[in-house]
This record gives sequence, structure tokens and C-alpha cells, in this order.
Amino acid sequence: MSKILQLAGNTFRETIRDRVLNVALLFALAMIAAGILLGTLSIGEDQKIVKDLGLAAIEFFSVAIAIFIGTSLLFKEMDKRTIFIVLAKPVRRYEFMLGKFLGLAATLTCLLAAMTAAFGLMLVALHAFAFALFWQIALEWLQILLMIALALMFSTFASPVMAMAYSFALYLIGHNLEGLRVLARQAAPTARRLILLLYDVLPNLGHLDIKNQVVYGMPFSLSQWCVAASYGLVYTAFALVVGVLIFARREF
Amino acid sequence: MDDVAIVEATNLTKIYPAVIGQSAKLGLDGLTLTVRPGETFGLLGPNGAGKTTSQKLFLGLMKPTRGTIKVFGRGPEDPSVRARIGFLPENPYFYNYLTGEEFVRFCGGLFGLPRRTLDDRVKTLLETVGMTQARKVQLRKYSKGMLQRIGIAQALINDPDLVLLDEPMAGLDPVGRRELRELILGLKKAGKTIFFNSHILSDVEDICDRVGILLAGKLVALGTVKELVQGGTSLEDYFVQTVERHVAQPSAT
Repeated sequence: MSKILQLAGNTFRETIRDRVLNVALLFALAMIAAGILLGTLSIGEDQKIVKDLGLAAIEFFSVAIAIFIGTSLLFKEMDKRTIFIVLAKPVRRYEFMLGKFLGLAATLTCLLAAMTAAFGLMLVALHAFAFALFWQIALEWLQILLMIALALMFSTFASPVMAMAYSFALYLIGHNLEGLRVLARQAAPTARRLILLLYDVLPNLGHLDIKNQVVYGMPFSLSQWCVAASYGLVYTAFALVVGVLIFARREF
Repeated sequence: MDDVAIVEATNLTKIYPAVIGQSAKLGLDGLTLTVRPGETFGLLGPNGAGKTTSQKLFLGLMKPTRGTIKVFGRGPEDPSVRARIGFLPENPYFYNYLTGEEFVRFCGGLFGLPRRTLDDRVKTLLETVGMTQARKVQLRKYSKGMLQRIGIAQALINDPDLVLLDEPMAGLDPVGRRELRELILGLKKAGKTIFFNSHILSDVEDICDRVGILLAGKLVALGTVKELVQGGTSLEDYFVQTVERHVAQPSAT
């Protein structure tokens, strides 16, 4: 465990000093501020728009940065040959991967915390603060973990550009997976089976999205939230295991 | 020190598989070699001869296509084997956002060294390689020679029984080379087993108990410097003659 923490600490130091992170944070804060501005311009609906845009901006920027950094971490180690130094030591391949995952997860948790704090303060100033929003932010955190795991998994066998493309594609598909079900209803039997298989296998990020419920005050149960959170965690673990299995076979 | 051979390679062969636009490439061709405890072994050869491939196989960074490799009697994929090895790669490039001290400490942490031992080892090694003054400077600001010194420090952080050095003299000025030579001789005196790849034949001649010459992945000469160099020639002359003989007649060994 101490080796994983060493590697995670090093990854955290590497990523927290990445300039991309500062740029992303600035953009995200600007988006949240723009949401508030937009909200104050719309009569009646202002609080809902502020909350909706704020939550969406936090999720988008966090996921984008998770994919951007997550897909380049392994490539940088190989390109700069620092991986020789680490894997020549008594470090197992899974320890290396978990260290990378936890380090980047820690960095993005800090980023999320900073954005949430800024968002929360703005909502307090607008008298629009609601604790229910945290349920969604917690699910966004799980989405970030899942996207880090997927980005790392893709980077074990693909170039950074391709790994980024796969990760973004999965993110977009994952949020629109219900469309596959609609498509399946209209497809021929063989195609339908294939589409439904994809529906089952691909990450359904819709499960981790309760923005409408928390913004519009629609009811959601704690058990529904727990099932969604468990789904996110299990899928993250699955992506990590696949990533480790591929990485363990790689030669350097 | 164990009685078993420190490194035992048997018919070690590595073929890099074909990739788009490139055919399969023979990296190492049936290397059979034993490195004994306390020995300083130098592996010589031109670029692309298979020297780095050999060290990567010794460390489990890649798997052999054929043959076996045992280090301390076990396969290098066993972390307990790598816990006894210190490794300096060729043209080392480290995490440039860390300071020299942070980097050596990080490497020590990967061996699970207790904090107090780690503190002592980091301090002693930074002194040994002459990097105490620059220890708080980020690695991005280091010269090539300074990086090489930090590389040596990280390679020795675990007080290894086997030290693998890939072109350790590369990038060092004459003073740095002399210091490194003395450091290696010190390690040798302390009973460490040293295996290094080098182009700088005069250093190899001074330091090594035995040398091997690799050409196109094949070990074409093996013995003590005295055994190989006869009739008053230097190791450099012998090396050049061996390369020329092999180029003229590839099957010659």
C-alpha cells in the first residue's frame, strides 16, 4: 500500500502543477459566473438556470480535465522513459496503475472541491443555495473517477489522441444511452440483440445524473442514489481491472 | 552474498515483433551468460547491439522470446529480486517537477525503506554524488552531468547487491567520469556485483573483471580483459578488430 501511496503522491504533485489545471479552473469559474449572469437576465427561472448551468459546467470541465490528463499520464511516463526507473524497482504493475489513478483522482477531487466552493458561495449570494445539489455533485465526483479509470484503461493500448477520442466518445454515448433502447425497438432482430448488448455493456452515465431532480425539486430516493453510486464504483473498478490486465502484458 | 550466480542468462533471445512499416527485429540472439557474485562485468557493443535489451530483460521490463533469465536465482518479475537491484538507465530523464532530493526520496519510498533509513540514505548518497548543494533545485534545471549523478544516487538508494548501469559515463565531463569510476571501484570494493554497458573502453578496461562483446544481438567474445587482449594491444584495438571481423564474416565468433 505504501508504494501505491508514493506513486499516487508523485502523480498528484505532477498533475496539480499542470498549467492545464489552472486554465480549466478559470474556465469553469467563468462558466459558473456566466450561468449566474444568464440566470439574472431570465425572469422567474433565474435560480433554476443558475443551478443547472453551474452543475453542468462543473461536470463538463472536471470530466474534460480527467480525460485530458488521464490519457496522457502513461504516455508521458513512456515517452520520457521515467517508467524504466519506476518499474525497475520492486513495484508491481497494478501498484503503478492504482498509484496513477489515485493521484489523479486526488487532484480532480481538489479541483471539484474548489469549483463546488465557488458555486456554493455564488448560490448563497443569490439566496439560491440548496443542499440537495450536493447529491448531484457527489455523483459527478463518481463520474470523474469512472472517466479517469476509462482514460487510463484506453491509454494502456492507444495513443493519447485516440485514448482521448475513445474516452470522450464513451462519455457522450454514456449520457445518451437511452437513445440506443429507442433504436433497438426499430431495429431488425439481430441488430436489436447487438444494440441491447451495447446498452448493457457501455457505461450508462445517465444513472449518475440527477440534475433535473435536484434542480427542479423532483423527488429521488436515497436507495436510488445508492444504487447509482454503486453502479459508478463497480464500473470504475471494472475499468481499472481491465486497464491493469492490459498494462501487465506491456513491454518497455 | 549468495553462492548462486547473480545473473544467469540461458539462450536469451528477444525478437521485436513486426509493426506496420517495419519487419520483425532481432534484439538479442541466444545470449548465454553468468555473472558471479562480486564481479564487475562490462558489456560492450555498438549502438543497437542488444546491450540495453539485455538489461531490460534482466529487470523484467520485457519478456524473452526464447530462453531464460534468472537474477538471484529467480525470475525478474518477482519484486523481491528487483528489491536487490539498483538501475541507472541510459540518458536518464527524471520527473523534472521534483527537486533532486525529492526524487531520490521518492525512489527510496518505492523500496519501502523506513523513514529514518531513508533520511540517512538520501543524505549520504547526495553527499557521495556531490549533489548536496543542488538538492533543493528542480531537476528541470539540472545539467546532463547533474542528472547522471542524481541517477546514480537513486540507483544506490536501496543499497543494492546488483548494480545495473546503462552507459553510465555518457554525458559526463572528464572530472565526472573519474569520480564515477572511483564510485564504481568503491562499490566493487564493497562487494557489490556490477553489470554495465559502456562505449568508453578505457573505463571498462580499468574497472571490469570480465567483459563481453555483443554484435547484432550475439555475444561474440567473453573473458577477462587479459584473456581477450593479448600481444600488447588495447581493449579498444581488440574491440575494433572483433567488429571488423564480424562485419566481414558475420558467422565468425
